[in-house]
This record gives sequence, C-alpha cells and structure tokens, in this order.
Amino acid sequence: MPLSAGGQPRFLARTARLIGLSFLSASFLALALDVPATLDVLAVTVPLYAAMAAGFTIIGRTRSLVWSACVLVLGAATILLLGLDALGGGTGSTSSAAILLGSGALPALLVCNLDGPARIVTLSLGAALALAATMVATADAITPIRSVLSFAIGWAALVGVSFWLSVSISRALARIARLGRAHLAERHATETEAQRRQGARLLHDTVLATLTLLAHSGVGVGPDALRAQASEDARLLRQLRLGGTPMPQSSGAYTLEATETSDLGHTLESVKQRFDRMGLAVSWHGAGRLLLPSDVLDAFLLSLAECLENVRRHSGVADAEVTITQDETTVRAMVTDTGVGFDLDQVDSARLGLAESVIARIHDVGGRTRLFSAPGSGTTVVLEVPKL
Amino acid sequence: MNETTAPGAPLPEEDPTVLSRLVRARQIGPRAVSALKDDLAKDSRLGYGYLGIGAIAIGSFLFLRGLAAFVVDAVGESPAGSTPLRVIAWALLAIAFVGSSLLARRHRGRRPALVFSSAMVLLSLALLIETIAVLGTPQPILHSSTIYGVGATLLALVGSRPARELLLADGAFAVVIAAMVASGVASGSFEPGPSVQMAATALLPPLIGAVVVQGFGTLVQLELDRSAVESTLLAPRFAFGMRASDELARLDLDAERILDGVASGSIHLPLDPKVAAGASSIATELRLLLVAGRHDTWLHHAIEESEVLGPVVTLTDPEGLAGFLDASEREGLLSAVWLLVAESVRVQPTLQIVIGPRNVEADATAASRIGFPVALTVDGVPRRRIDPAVWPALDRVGDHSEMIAGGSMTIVTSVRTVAQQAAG
Repeated sequence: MPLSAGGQPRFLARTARLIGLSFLSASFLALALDVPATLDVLAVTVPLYAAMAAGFTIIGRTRSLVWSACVLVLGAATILLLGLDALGGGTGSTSSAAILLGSGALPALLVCNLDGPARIVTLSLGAALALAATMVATADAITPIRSVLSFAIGWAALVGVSFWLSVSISRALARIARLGRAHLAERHATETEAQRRQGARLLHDTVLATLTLLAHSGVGVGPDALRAQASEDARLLRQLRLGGTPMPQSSGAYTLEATETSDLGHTLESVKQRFDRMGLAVSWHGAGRLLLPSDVLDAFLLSLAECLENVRRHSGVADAEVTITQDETTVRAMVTDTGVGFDLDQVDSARLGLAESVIARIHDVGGRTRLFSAPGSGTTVVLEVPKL
Repeated sequence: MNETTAPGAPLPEEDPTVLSRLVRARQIGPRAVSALKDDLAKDSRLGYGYLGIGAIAIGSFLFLRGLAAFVVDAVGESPAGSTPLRVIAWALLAIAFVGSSLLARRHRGRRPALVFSSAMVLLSLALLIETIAVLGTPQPILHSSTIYGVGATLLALVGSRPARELLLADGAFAVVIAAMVASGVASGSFEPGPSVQMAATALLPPLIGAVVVQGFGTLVQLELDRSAVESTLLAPRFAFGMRASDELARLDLDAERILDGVASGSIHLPLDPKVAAGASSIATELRLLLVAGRHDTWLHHAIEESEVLGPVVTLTDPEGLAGFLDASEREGLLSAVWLLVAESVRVQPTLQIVIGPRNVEADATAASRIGFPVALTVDGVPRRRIDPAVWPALDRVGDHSEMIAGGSMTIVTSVRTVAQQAAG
C-alpha cells in the first residue's frame, strides 16, 4: 500500500476510546447519582477520572502504550479508593462504580493493544492489578464470585471484540486490495481501449459525418444510400467494440481527412494472422515499421490482402512470400508464390479480380502495379506506393 | 449457538472470476461495468458478514450471561415479580435471537427488513411483559434481567442492518431503561449505583456496537476510495481517465444503435425531430471528446474520480506538469494530499493545488531536467492538526517551505525532475 495505511490502527484506537469513555462515564454517573453518601470519595476520585478521560482521549489519537499503562494504574488506584471505608466507600454505589470501571472501561484498552508482546504483557499486568483492586474494593458489598464473574465477562467480551474487529478489518482490507488490483487492471484496459477508440480516426470521421447527415434529415442523399452507409458504419462500430481496428473501405459521399499516419507494422501483422487462419502461411521479409498517409495505407493494405487472397484461391500452394522494401520516396511490396502460375497473355487480369481491386486502387493513390507470371513457375506481384 | 463456523461463502484467495467478469462486462458496455462493481461490493460486503458473525458471537455470550442472571434470580429466595411471565419474555427473546441469527446466515449476513421488524416486535413484546412483571416493585431495573437479553439481541443484529435503524432501536430501548431507572428514583429505597450498572451493561453494548459498525463502514469506504485513487499512480503523462473512457465507449455504442436502427429500418427516414436531435448531440459530444483527447494528468483523474478528494480539492495545472513526476514523486504528492484532506478529523479542510509555471532553465546542461513549483494551499486546518506524515511524503517530491497567512497555510514544493517524456 503506497499511501499511508493507518486506517486500521486508527479505527481500533478510536473504538477503544469510545468504549473506554462510555464505561468511564457510566462509572462516574453511578457515583454522582448517589452524591450525599459518596461526596468524599467523589471529591478524591474526580481528578483520577479526569486523568483517565484525558488518557483515553489521547489513546484515541495516538494509541500511546505509555498512556494505556497510565490509565491501567490510575484505574486500579481509583478502584482501591472506591473501596476505602474511610472515604465512605464499599457501598453498593461505589462497588458498581468500581465494577463498571474495572470490567468495562479498563478492558477497552484491549481493543487497540493486542498487536505486540510489550502491549500484551502490559495489558495482562494491568488486568491482574485491576482484578486484585476490584476484589479488595467490592468485598464488602458483593460476593467475590459475582465480582470475579463481572470482571471475567467484561474482559472476555472485550478480548472477543478486539479479535473480531481485527479479523474483520483484515478481511475487508484484503478484499479491498483485491478490488484495487482489479480496478488497476480495469483502468489499464480502459485506457488502452480509449486510445484504440480515439485512434480509429478514419472510422469516427465517417461515423460523425453520417450522424450529422442523419441529424439534418439526410438532405441531399437518397434514403437507400444513407441506409447503406449507416449499415456499414454500424458494422465498423461493432467491430471496434468487439476489439478489432476496422478501417472504413469507402466513405460514401464524404471527404475523409487523410493526413494522419499510422503504424504499418502492426497492421501487416494482422493481415498475416488473418491469412494464417484461412490456411495460407505468409512469410514476411523486410521493413516492419513504415509510416504511410492513411489513405495510401488503406489502398496498400487492401491491395496486398487482395493479392494474398488470389494466391490462396488460385495458386494451389499453401504459402506465400511478401517482401517489403522502401527508399526515400516509395514503399514496395513483392508478393511471390511458387504455385501454378499463368500465361499473362492468355488470362485477362480482370478475370483474376486484380484490375479493380488492386491495380485501380493503387493507381488512385499515385502508385503502380506490376505482374510477372508464367505457367508452372509461380506468380509475382509488385505493388509500389508513394510515401508522401 | 454454533455461529462461529465460516460465513456463507468463503471467498477464494484471488477470486479469478472478478477480472473475467469485468472483462466480459466491458464488451456489453460501460454501464454494465459499474453495475458489476456495485454488485461485487454488495456481494462480498467487504467483511460486514464477518463483523456480523462477531457481533452474534459476543451477543450470544451476553445473552447467556443475562439468562444466567435470570435463573439465579428466579431460584433465589425472593424472586421479584412474576417468574412465569419472565419465562415467556425470555422465550420470545430466544426466538428473536436465534431466528434472526439463523436467517442472517441464510441471507449471507444480511437480514431482510421483515426479519428485522419481526425481531423488533418480539423485543418490544418481551420488554412489555417485563414491564408488567415488575409493575409495582420498588426498583424495576434491579430485577429486570430481561433487559440483558434485549441488549444482547440488539447487539447481535448490529452487522446486518443500516446503523441508522439500529441506533433508532437503541434509542427506544434507552427510553425504556431510563423510565425504569426513573421509576426507581421515585421509590424510597433507590440504589443509584447498581441501577446505573444494570442500565449500562444492558444498553452500552448494542449502542457501542452500532457506532463501531458505522465507523467500520466509513473506514471501508475510505479505503476503497484510496485504492481507486492509487491506481492512477502508474498512468502515463496524459490519460483519458476512466470517466472519459467510459463516455467514449458509451457514445460509440449510442451511435452504433442509431446507425443500426437506420440500417435495419426500425428507425424511419427521415428521422423524427427527437431522434435527429439525439443523433446531433451524440455527434457533438463525440467530436468534443475526440478533439479534447488526452490533456489531463493522473493527478487530475485521481481527484476527479475520488469521492473523498473530489469535492474539496481544486487542481490548477494548465501545462500538465504533474505528468512529469516519476512514480515515487507522484506517490509522495498524492500521500500528502490524502493526509491533508482525507485523514483530518472533525474539520473539513479545502485544498488548492497549483502546479507551475515551469522554471526557465538557464543551465544548458540541464536540458533534460525541468523544474516547477507545486503549491498546496490548505484552508480550515490549524498547523498542529496536520498529520506529521505529510512532511516526509513531501520530501519525496522536493524541497518545500511553508507560509501561514490568516487561517490558511501554503506549502510550496519545488520539483526538479528528469523529463523523459518532455521532448522540447
């Protein structure tokens, strides 16, 4: 616990003070209500009561062992004075006051003093002293058995209180520490999650545009187009919620800001994993960390994925090589497989789905595509996109 | 009374389900997470169950003591009042005590309001019977062993109901006892000492128990808050914070619902004005949140998310300099803030934290080091009331000096820290 963990001892000390002062007041009340008969003994013991009250107050704040010992000694002395015949003691009222003091107020010190050998020894000595004093002081008014019984019940109950309070607090603190760890993990996850969501700028741009359009009743856009756009955006938001990092493929009629750059390496890895799952092992060579404007990145990535999809469907082999190189102006990807290949002159590239999905897309961002193949000797596609 | 066996469901050591439940709830949405957290807090009740069992154990001890006193009195030479009536009273008490203790176990430490009110009715009946039994005796309280049983039962109930209800019940009990003592005063042979002793031993245990359980609840709340605050210590320089993160997730979800509705046709085009206004406000909030991004430091989040610090601490840190503090310095600063505000007793101080402006460094070699002042202004706490542990905590942050003006004290700490993240 990095912050000060003083809650437990402080709580126990305050509880000791509460119990101590309550029974001290009751003891004093027992004397004060019988005042003509107990005037002498009251006059003598008032300073002692005041000192004990001060002691409990200080213990409540500092948990001082010295003050605990002082209160025990003062308490035993008070009990003895309450039993003095010369002061008019030894009556029913003084005995009650003595019992309340010795079996209620003094054992309250147990609550905050059971956590160290020195404290336990002090308390045991104090208990013995208080018991002896109680026996002597109450001998005239009540039977020894009753006073011992009261004493034992008081001290035993407070040992129980101390024990249960300590155990309850420890359990609560352990539980809180567990919740704290869960909270820390949650904070971490939330932060990552928020960063991921905020990082999905392209997505949020199109969502915001669609929402704004909806808010203005879709002026200028046909309901079907709007519905299609909403469906696409909702799908992307769902993907985002489920942990993906979707990129909008088209932005409908809106202009997207495309000035942000993103980390390519991370995205390439996800492409690789996707094809791994579909049964095509992709070996990766070359630079893993490239920065591209996001529209170029989009086109590059989708084309690359399309090339790999072609390999998976047509080549007849289960692995492909991707080599990525870059110079100051261009990023280049070479997708190679050792599959069946084809005759470039005989097979129209449009039939391979390359024309629209790869060539046009790369062309749009100012890049170019080259295709090399021959029957029986595999296929190589080279994609080149400008960096700026 | 075999109540000392382990409570209803002992929790497994690390409770592996907590995290996975949280993770699952996260996918449903932010509200599910907070609902789950409430649920967890209630579920375990953070040691209340254990505290309740302790109260039952100590209560049964005192109950048996009272029963013993009754038996001694009943078989004695001159039993006061009617013994059969007392037997009925004790039987009612036993039903109340045993019944509510057993039901508390069944309800995992909580007693439903119905059980509590039935117990209260039984206790009142027992007291009524007792009053009838002692009617006419000169000092009723000296012969009313039943009140021990009532006190013990009230103590046993202490862990399972809100402290307010118990204090109310204790108050009613105190009135009955005061009436018994008062009727003794009127009689000629009043013995104040033994009367006070009886009253105190019957009344004080449940009363103290209720106050202690209330204090326990406060302690638990404080510790929970502290552990939430501590989790900000490891945050990066700027972070979204839990609230903004939840907000972002919520807005995304709301947007998804509207778009989904439009796509599936359940929301008709063009939108009716209410839905359109909703879409517009979601877009506005989302835009603001995305533009605002991460400009708040860990300290800001710690204060904002804390129920203890939030209302009384104001933070001014326009440059986000608190984010430059390293882990140990953050800990020192947060400890000092916590000690100044949360741990002060009786008084409710207010604290203003002003961080910055950044010192201009003349020394070119110290380019990677930055310096700035952190000023803590405390109102409403006298100097001697401030926890001495504040000073060593601030030592970890930097050299500090204090100024006292009127009722407020300002502690200025000069921080010099290595700014790894401060490029430029």
